[in-house]
Amino acid sequence: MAVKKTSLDGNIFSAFVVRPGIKFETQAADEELVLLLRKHPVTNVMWILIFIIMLLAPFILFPYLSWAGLITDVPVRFGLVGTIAWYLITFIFAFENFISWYFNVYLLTNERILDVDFYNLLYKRVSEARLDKIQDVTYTQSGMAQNVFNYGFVYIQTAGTEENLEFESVPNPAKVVEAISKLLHK
Amino acid sequence: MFLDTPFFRLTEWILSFTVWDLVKLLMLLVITMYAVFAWVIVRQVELMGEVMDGNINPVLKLLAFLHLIAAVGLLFLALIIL
Repeated sequence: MAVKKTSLDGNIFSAFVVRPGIKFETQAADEELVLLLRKHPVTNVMWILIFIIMLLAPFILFPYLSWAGLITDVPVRFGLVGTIAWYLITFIFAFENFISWYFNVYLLTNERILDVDFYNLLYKRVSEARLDKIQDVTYTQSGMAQNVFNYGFVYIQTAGTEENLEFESVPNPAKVVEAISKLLHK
Repeated sequence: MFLDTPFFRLTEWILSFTVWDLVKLLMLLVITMYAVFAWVIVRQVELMGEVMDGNINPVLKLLAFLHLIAAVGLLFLALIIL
């Protein structure tokens, strides 16, 4: 097949998975999943930092508020329920961000390219372009972070009424373009 | 005579509220909404799992379900101790 496994390829948690060996919703019987892409893991750094701050906040904030004499009158039972609620919110914040990263995928098969997006809690959008409709594939890498961590945007232009696709912040964009080109010229 | 009317008793009941009674009502309302949100998350993970058959889908479903149980548990806890 067009794409070879390299040391950069990882397991199902990775953002660049060659032949992941999984099934997707609209996969045809003879259709082979060649490449699975997600946003580069470095794009998760911000929410992970916020998650850590949220985890530590009660340990820093409560002693400070207590020292400042602002929460001396708060009944313990309210503090208990509030703290549990805070950690539930902290958990769901991280969980939501993780599943958003994990399930927003770009799939490259031997027949088409799919872009699976989940915009909010219950709204999904799956765009696809058949390989024979693809006219042009380009990529961009701009800014320090994208060049240091080697990720960028891949633009797939299609013919006719089919929608153009955009892969956002995917790792190894040059390799992705190469993989698509090889599939197009098979 | 006016003192025996339901309206007066309701007014008296409302005026007897302390700050913590109001906080309690607010917390119960927010936690109830959060429990509904937790159920939506369970549904969301199910829908997402249908799109792609990932190895960790069962783990994600379990986590979402445990979170729902925790949210409902918190609601009961708040009802009991607040």
